[in-house]
Amino acid sequence: MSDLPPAVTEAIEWYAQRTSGHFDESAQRALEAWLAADVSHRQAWVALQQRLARTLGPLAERQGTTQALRASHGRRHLLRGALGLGALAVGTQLLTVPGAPLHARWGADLRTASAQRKTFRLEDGSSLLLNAESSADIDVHATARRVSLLRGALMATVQQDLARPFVLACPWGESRLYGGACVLSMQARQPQLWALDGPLELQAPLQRTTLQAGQGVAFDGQLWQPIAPRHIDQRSWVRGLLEVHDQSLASVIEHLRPYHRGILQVAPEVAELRISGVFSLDDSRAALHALRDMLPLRITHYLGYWTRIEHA
Amino acid sequence: MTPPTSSHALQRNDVLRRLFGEHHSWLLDRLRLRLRCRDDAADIAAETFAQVVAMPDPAAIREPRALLSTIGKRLLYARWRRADIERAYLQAIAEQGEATAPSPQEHWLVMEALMEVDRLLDGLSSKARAAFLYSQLDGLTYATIAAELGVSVTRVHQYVVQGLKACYQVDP
Repeated sequence: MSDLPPAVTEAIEWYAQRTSGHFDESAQRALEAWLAADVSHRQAWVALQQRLARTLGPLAERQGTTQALRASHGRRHLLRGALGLGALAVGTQLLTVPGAPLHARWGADLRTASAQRKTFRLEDGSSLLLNAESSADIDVHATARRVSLLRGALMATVQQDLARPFVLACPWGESRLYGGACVLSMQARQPQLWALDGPLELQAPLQRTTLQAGQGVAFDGQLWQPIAPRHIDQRSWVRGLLEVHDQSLASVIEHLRPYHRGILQVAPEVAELRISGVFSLDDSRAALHALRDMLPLRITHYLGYWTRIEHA
Repeated sequence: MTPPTSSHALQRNDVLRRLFGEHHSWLLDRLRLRLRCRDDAADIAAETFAQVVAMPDPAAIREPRALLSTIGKRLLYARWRRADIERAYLQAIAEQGEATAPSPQEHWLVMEALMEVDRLLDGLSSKARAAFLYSQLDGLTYATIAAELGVSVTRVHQYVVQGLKACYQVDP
């Protein structure tokens, strides 16, 4: 910890006294005298309060934050099995349980807006995470569970139920699973399906195949083919990232589009530039700046909502 | 900062592409060995490269694998810590019977703020951390905190001062 300026150290001392629970009028007068004694005192006092407002402000008057921050550092080894999808499911479960249950909305459209990912919990215990600008229909009843992706992408974390297969459908085929998790994406006009956890069965008009956990297929217009090493990883959006392996700029922009408010236009002369990297979806401006750092691009914003990407 | 020239940008892209091509699967394999979960490993590998992409001069990296495993390990620990804190937080609000669950956005903002404060208080002892939080988040008096933690009121004052100093520190 580096040494703080004397005025800051004194301000901290005053602040600690003031929050002790015993700060009477004479102490208040002494604080005011200290504040008036030197301009650096007042500056340090204001700076301290600003910093505390920034860091502690969002947590003040909220239940549970002290307990959260007192969580032991010593339990890391216990978490090995509970990370990732497991942890995500637990988090969303606790968050959505007190709210309105989704069985009241069977058959209704699920929708997300621009720059919004959202988890929906189904009555059978499964959950759906919809990517930005996505929509789906759900139909869960006593004998079947069916989700039709209409637009965008979704991740399904399926509650095991051997009597009711969970069918995730898009116009080019459907995947059938009894538990586990998968991602189905129709972004950038290239459908992809990934088995994340446990196997799934893919049925399409011209084929039928099984994917093991970690395998992905993409639809080439006729058949679902194993995903080549050069691809845009359709699973990374689940974590708010766009992971790209040697793709064209146009295709990268296609994936940023649902997260960008306004119009994104790519000039033809840069559309085919190749790129690899990882970009943040939740901050599309930062992602655009990262692209500009990696490629000879000029990015111009007009009227606050129109963005043009051209050759520099 | 001046915008990079075209050739600079192309060179940078080239360096990053090579880094990605040569080391991405190596890093992923290492993370998978430690995590036994493909998706977590893939996420951390992705985040690791996201940090490398954000570095001002990737061409200056001499030992890419050492750098990548350092960043990867840090992210791994951060993720575990976050899961710990999130679990404790959700448990606390569930026990206290909050009338309505926070929206996902609200939850995310709280988690971000919790992680920031957790980082700032990293060097404090568990008693100092507890005293600071009881005082500054829960508004307890030093006398109450002293009784709770079994220390003197003067000691609580020192703990709160330590916490305030930690929160004042400029980002590294």
